[in-house]
Amino acid sequence: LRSASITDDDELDLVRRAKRGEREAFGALVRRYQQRVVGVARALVHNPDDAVELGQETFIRAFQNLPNFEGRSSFSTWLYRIASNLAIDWRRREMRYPVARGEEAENELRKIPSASGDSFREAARDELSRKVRGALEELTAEHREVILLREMEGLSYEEISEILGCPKGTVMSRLHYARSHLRDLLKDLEAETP
Amino acid sequence: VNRCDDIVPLLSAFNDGELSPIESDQVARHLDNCEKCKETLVDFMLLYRRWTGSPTT
Repeated sequence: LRSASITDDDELDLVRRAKRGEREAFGALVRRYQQRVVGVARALVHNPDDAVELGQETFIRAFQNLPNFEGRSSFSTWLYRIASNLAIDWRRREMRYPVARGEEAENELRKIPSASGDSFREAARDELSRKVRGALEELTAEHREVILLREMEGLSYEEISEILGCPKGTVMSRLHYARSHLRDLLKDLEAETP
Repeated sequence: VNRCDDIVPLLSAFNDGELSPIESDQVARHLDNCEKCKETLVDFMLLYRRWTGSPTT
């Protein structure tokens, strides 16, 4: 799940060609990163439809700003940063954060893979998903986004720190706090279950 | 240096493989002698399994 490295020759070639205006090359980059960019946006804004929209906007901005991309970070990190800046602006504008709405949370949890088709296990998984969702909603926006970027998108601490514009140590402490809190919340929820 | 208060904030990153080799070694040595921190680490590992829907046994 890790992003491609800047030393990826194929990617460098695609970026070079896209900078020259080759739409086909840019299209290949879009296909390569579309899902991840939407995932990053989803971690920050929650609503899947808004995340898709932000993903599209991210690629439009990226295409427009491609001449300014100097390769100081990987192309993927550069893209994620554009997506996170747009998401932060979106949040500021729409004032829809921090609570994930029911339907949005349901959609988010559909991403959790099913271990088996067995109906009993499915029911157990649904129950587990419900508990995780309930616990996630208890977290602050800062803690929820950092844990979604790590657990759902599989990003490294370095990538998360670049996306959120905070030091790696902050990512580490937020993740530690978020996990400790989630652990306690899930224990409480389990204790409440007869 | 190896008090639980110093080690616990590192356990999450230890589980993610995001600590420096020196810090990882420090945590690993502490875990050899501390059941409480070991338990916390197991909780974090189980949390990840719950999240991904992997079997917990």
